[in-house]
Amino acid sequence: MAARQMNTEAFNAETVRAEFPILATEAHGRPLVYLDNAATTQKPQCVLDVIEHYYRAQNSNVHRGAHYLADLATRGFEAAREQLAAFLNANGKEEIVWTRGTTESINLVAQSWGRKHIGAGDHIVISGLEHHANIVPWQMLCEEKDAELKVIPVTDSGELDMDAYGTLLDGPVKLVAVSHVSNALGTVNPVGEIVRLAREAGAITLIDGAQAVAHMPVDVQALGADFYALSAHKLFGPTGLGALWGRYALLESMPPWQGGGEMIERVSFEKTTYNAPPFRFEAGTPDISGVIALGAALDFVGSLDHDSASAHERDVLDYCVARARQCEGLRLIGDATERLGAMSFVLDAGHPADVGTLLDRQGIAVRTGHHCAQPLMARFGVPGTVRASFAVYNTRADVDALFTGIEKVKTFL
Amino acid sequence: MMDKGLYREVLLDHFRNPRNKGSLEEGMQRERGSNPRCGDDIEVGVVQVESRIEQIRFHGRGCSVCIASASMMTEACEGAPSDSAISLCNHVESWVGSREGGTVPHPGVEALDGARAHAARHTCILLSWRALCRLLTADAA
Ligand SMILES: Cc1ncc(COP(=O)(O)O)c(C=O)c1O
Repeated sequence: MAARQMNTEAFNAETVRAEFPILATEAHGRPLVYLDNAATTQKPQCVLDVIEHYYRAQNSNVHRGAHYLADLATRGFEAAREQLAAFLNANGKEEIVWTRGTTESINLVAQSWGRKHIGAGDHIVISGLEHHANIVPWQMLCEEKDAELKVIPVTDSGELDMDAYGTLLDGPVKLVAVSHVSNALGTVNPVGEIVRLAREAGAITLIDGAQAVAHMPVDVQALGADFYALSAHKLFGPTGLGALWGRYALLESMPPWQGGGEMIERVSFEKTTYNAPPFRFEAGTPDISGVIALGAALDFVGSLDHDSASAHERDVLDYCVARARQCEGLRLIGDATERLGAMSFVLDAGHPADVGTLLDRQGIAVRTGHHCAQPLMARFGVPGTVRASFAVYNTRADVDALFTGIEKVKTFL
Repeated sequence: MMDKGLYREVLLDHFRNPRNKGSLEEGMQRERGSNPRCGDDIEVGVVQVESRIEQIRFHGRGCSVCIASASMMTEACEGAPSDSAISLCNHVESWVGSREGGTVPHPGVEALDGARAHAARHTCILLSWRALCRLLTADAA
């Protein structure tokens, strides 16, 4: 505890905030309080600079033209792949496939690995906490293959029912796909245990890491999963870019899923042979500036003192939850022991849409609605929630502003 | 207070004390409107006598804009000939869609003027009106 306090003090949130120009915005004449980081994080100056620099000084296509700029662009592009591989402790940069985001990463696995390996009667296990991006691709696959989708139930505290999971694994399970951290509730799932049990049952595992990577170190080798999906824009990087990490042997066994340039080895009208992973899965010109900018975002994360930054994040979230427990007429939705990045709630005083609008008028940005997790909302019997979600640059002052705002909402509605 | 534009007093009054809200009676014609995006879910019930709306009620859950709009709708349409109610529904639809300007379709809906400026709230406003319009047009066909 004493050590944690010291770490919190060592962390200077103001210095970090200063790196994010957008945080100085005024919204409706009030200082912006940005608490919608689970939707997307803001971008530090270094990321913005790199994007501009790329188009001013490096713009070219990758892996093609044998000229000065093409070489610069290709080197920047591949260096970022190397950086992300190191960030995830992957077993080499060939295990990193660039995609448009978590959604596309999951669809890639469903369409490529899934269509090859899933057959009639097979089970795919997901959880009741999933984002639609980790539900619908599997539903589509199940429908096509006559397979069955099984769902790990969620307890009243918003955690996964691990006993029920154990029982599900008695079935003919081929794949388990769960989120590392729930975007709607902030619950941290016991993915290590989930993966271990799945492996024992002979199932492949995919972890949706969209909400984890900005908040905790991820070591895919230690985790032992087969696939890990993430989005750059939730990690201080640009929108429209993400990655799929996959074990190389698995990636190598998978057929391509989109055809075009880059993913081929040799094309003739009679027969085309495919490039090796990761290029096999990267048809077409990729988001080159985005990839290079993600490299800058990873530099930003690397520049933070990890221990004190995560102690600071934990302190702000714990403070928010403590304030929420004291707030009359507020009901927390989900109350997991392990929680990261987000807190969801409803107010007796009003519908989430009204609460969100009234907070917005005070400069406070939260997300309201179903958070792309309609089955989870149904589980808790609410039409939607208000979600406050945090990044490393948020402070206790942001939490204070939120609760001052909530008090105003209560008197208004 | 904050946000005079969107949350006018009249709108809040309709939200806090909705008119004609409660369970629908046996024998009413019913139509449901729901918007899974924000969880609004209401049902409109009418009794038509000689092509006139003799009785109109609604029940369900929704945000303030959704509930207030449904409440205003019941007041505006009670006793009206069914075909003028259909015209009113259409007029409200286009008035809301245009976000500003145009003639107010009915004095009873003027307080929605602030809400229609917010495109994100259009479905909230129109949920009940669209349900009523579907009900009446299906019946007229
Ligand atoms: C847990 C989770 N999975 C998947 C996604 C989808 O990410 P993207 O829209 O970047 O593809 C999100 C985004 O909100 C998420 O929170």
